[in-house]
Amino acid sequence: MDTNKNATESQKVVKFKIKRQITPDSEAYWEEFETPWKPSLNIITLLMAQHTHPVTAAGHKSTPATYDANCLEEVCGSCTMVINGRVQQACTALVDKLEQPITIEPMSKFPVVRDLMVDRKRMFESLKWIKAWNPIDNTAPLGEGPKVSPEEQEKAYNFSRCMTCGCCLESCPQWSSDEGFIGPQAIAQSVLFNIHPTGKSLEDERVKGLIDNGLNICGNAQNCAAVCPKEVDLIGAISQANWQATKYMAKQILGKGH
Amino acid sequence: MSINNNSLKANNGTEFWLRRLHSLTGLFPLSLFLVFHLVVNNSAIKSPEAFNTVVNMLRSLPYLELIEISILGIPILFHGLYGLIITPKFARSNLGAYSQVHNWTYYFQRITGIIIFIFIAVHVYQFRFNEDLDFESVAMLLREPIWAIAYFVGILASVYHFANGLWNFLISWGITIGKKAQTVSAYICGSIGLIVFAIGCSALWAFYSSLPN
Repeated sequence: MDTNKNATESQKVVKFKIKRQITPDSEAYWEEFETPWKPSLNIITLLMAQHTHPVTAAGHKSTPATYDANCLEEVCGSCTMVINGRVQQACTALVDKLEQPITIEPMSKFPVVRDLMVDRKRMFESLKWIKAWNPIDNTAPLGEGPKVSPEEQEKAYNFSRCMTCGCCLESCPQWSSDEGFIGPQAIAQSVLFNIHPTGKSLEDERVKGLIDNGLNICGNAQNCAAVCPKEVDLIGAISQANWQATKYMAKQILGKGH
Repeated sequence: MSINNNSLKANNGTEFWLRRLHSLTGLFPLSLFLVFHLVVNNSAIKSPEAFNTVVNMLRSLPYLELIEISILGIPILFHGLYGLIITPKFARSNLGAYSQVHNWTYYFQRITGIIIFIFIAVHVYQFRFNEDLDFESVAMLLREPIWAIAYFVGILASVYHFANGLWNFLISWGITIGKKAQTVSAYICGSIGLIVFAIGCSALWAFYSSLPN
């Protein structure tokens, strides 16, 4: 981007609309704002400008819009919202790459707490359903754990990049928070913990967790992989989990389960 | 939506088993029957007599009704009705925002499912319950452009649903794991689909272009 600093450039404004909702149960409504254009603006800086000057484009006094944000470098996932209709992180959504007026709204599939802030608790609940941990608790020291091969480490690394942001679930045409489909995020974590030599001991329980939570409700629309900001191999994870479930089914049917 | 966590619920796995059964019935017997049916139709290319011979042969199969009900009727009804139940319950199309290719194939899988359900009902009513079914009675219907188009759409929807369903089956059972395997399988399933579609259309053409006797 060139840094023209002539008069017309400095008078340029950024137009954006925020979907406001005051309480979890109240009606949502849109408010339009304008802020002077500056180089390298992102959505978080737009929202900060709205906080400093919470007045709508029409000149009405408003309130600062509530939003969640933490790391500001796309590793925490908390500023995930729907920007110009597409789910992404506000911190890495660059204003100059977005068509104006920019629409900013909360994710539609999680309960709204207020304005742009949603409750993402469901994702952390689903991690419990699939026991997303390595079982190492004991009354006596267990000694060194088994070695993890570089190949396994590399495979695991991709899945471990998940920041539980919710993009995959928001873009999934099959997922909603209350219809019993666990969703791609937890499926990938199940596969991650099944890779680890220690975590593997819980594989059957994890697969059962996926089966009991509608693993095959997935319709292979594959939006999840297309929107994942961390490029987690969700396509690979889901098909891998499906294979683990096929093996589990065979064990159940042939009576070799436990 | 409220922040009440009572809305978090796990189903008990029934959904999973029904989905797997849905996927399995799609492959066997439905896909196999579709291919068999479209291939057998092509006896109409040879001659009306050849077609009539095949029809009479199939009609004289022992335990015909038992075969039809167990291998076709029940699986079709299960696959179709379960599909019609889960599609409106889960599917929320979002093509506007996310328009990559498999979101489209996902969408058309459901649209074609609904088309096929209606098509099969009409088709079975027209031909299975016609006691005097022969080449001429089929041709009489299919010479009318409106019915020829209806059957063309029916074949197109069925073959799309079959080919894309096959691609889906391979993923849902964990046979094609990962993007690469799924891209290869997309080309293979697509090619199989094109071949089966051509086979289906050739028989339709034989009826449509036949001369009334």
